[in-house]
Amino acid sequence: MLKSDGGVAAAIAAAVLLNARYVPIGISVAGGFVGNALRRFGEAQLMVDESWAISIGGERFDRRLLVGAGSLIYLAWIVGTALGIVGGGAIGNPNRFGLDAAFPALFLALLAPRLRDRRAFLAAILGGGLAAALIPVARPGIPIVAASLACLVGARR
Amino acid sequence: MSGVWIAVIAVSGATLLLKAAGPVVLAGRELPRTARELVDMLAPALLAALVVTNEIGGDRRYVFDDRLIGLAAAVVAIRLRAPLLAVVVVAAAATALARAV
Repeated sequence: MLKSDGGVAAAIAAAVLLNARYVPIGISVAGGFVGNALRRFGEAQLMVDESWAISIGGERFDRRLLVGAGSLIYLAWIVGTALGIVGGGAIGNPNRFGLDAAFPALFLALLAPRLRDRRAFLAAILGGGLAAALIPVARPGIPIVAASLACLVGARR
Repeated sequence: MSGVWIAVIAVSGATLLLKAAGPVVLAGRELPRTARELVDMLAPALLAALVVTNEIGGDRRYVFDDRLIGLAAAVVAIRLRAPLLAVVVVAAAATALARAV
């Protein structure tokens, strides 16, 4: 990324933009965090797309699930990175096993039960539509942040 | 210090703050009803956006590939009320199969 995008600043901007989605993601579950600010700061770091999605799979946000799943994912990431450095060539591209198809399926499976609610359905259609429309024109990261605007369907008139 | 390390430190620091923003500022605060209703709709909107971007999102372009086979398989599995793990495995397996043939 550093070489292709010309300059350190551009690389930083692109990466920060990619992670900007954690602001709306964090807001969506903020009410479920407990303890002092330092603890909330620490636990919030365990929020990745997958641990967040799993933690909201039930009736309401499960903070312990976020912490558990988030810790596991970080651990797996560290082990995976180490294995990749040591013997990555032996496994080859993990996408051969459809790993890249597993993530959208996970998100869809966790979204599906919410679609029975009419407004949640609208928010999903609008959010997904916004993201899809912006993919070809906006830098990666922006489509997801923009999709949070779809939550406006939540406002009762 | 090389540019790579400056970038790593800057991005890590920014990401720490981006992740903490909601949980640090908003937790334990009683939100007005309208705000609560908006926040409740963030989850479906964001989940749908994650499905779309992980499925067809490239760098300012669409990428349509065998992941779509996996998504179709996932839809079937979800309709059959398969458990979460089964849906994910089915999607990965269908895509892997499509890539193998």
